[in-house]
Amino acid sequence: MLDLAGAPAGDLRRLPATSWVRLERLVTSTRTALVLLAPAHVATSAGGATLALVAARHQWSGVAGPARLLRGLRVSAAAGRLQPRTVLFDLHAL
Amino acid sequence: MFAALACPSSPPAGALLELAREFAPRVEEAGPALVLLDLAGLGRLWPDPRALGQALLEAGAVRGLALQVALAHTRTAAALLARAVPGLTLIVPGGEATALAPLPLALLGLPPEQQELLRLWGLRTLGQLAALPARGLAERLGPGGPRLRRLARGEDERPLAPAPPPESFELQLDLEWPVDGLEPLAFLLQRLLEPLCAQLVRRGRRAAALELELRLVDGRRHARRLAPPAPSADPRTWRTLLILDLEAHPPGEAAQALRVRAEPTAARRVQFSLLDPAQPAPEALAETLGRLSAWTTAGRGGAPRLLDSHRPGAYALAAFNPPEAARREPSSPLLTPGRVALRAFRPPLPAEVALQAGVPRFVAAAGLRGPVLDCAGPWRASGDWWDEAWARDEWDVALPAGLFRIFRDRLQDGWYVEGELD
Repeated sequence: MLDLAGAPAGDLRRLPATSWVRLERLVTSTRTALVLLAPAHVATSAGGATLALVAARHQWSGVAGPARLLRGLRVSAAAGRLQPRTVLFDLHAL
Repeated sequence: MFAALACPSSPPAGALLELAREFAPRVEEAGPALVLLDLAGLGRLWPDPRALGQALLEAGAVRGLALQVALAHTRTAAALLARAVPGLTLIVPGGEATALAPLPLALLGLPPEQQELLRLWGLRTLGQLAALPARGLAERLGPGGPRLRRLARGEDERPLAPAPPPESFELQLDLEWPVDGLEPLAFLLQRLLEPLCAQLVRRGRRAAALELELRLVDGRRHARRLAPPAPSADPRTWRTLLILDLEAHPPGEAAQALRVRAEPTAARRVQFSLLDPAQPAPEALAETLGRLSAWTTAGRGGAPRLLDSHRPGAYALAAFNPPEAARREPSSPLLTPGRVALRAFRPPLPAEVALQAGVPRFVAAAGLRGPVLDCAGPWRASGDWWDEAWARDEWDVALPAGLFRIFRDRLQDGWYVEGELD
């Protein structure tokens, strides 16, 4: 897993596009799955599947106050560019 | 000819054997306080056997051992006399039976019932037992009877079984000219490591750790010790690890002599699984870890280990020692509920937080700024007041940029963004 989610999107765009192709070729002939996390769609020229994840809603328990807890996140995942298919799922914090 | 060293007072373990090895290469440990020496071939060194016996007594006295020494042409006679007669006893060839005759039967270490039987026969000394006919003893005691008679006459039943010499995996190289720099040192290390590793392989051993000592031109000694996760007998791996370690800890002066000592361990036997993913070779893993450790400052490389503490993010570095791949059933990710992860900022980002009635309303930090849309908290936590105290109030806040965890350090009275929840 290559986690670039905390990196500024501008810095990622300045990376040469060949970097992603090299990474893809490194893992294509192996049984390894490379998961790239980024704040935007950076590996535009490489193959593979792209999943756009957006936090749709925060879920809290109870009313505002000291006893309140974060219950989780409702995330929308969209796959495909021309005819995107969207799925909603929950991530639990408790 | 044989010599026997006996020490009536319990000597330290291995002390007699160590003393005996200084006089003869073939020695046998016949008991906790009895050692036999094969003196064959020592005639040119010690023309007079009495002088050799005196030297053995003096060597024992120097070490604080009150020895009883006997020299005879059979090992049985030497052993029995050394256990029975104080000081030095020297027996001429053919005089073993005569010398042993007055000694008590108890020296043979017989079982109590057999000793009682011989006592009932009226036998008290070895000479009385030796005088009995072998045929009569065999008829009454079985095959053990003639054997007892041979022992009482000082005759050997078997040759000396020498104890194997202690294994030493140490090599030293004295240089005519001092060597400075790692590159020539690498060649010299290779000259030491190749025969050392070959010796380890011949004995079916691997080196669990390696000690390198450099004697420097200014008289100092630069000593390093390496203990990789897996034992190895590969000279190339050890050379790479030593050079990486010397790069991180340079000796500072040219070296005049090198000494390498290996701590041997049994060779590794691993049965790899056909189904598990391939594991890296231990030698390659040790080399990679050595390189990573050399790149980090002060060798801060390893595997994180959680500490038994409530302090968020408390961990320590331990040696990277991956367990063998455990067989487990693949779990379906679709059936496992997803969890919110904290993407921690290391170190936490200092922040400015505006409060309203004690609740965060606005957060500003490097690359992060916005009003608090929703929040939960505070959760107060503290600990380690006896050591490095910490105390904090944590909040989960929803900002326009996402969901973040912030906290107020109550000891320093400052706000920080700990990480992003996603």
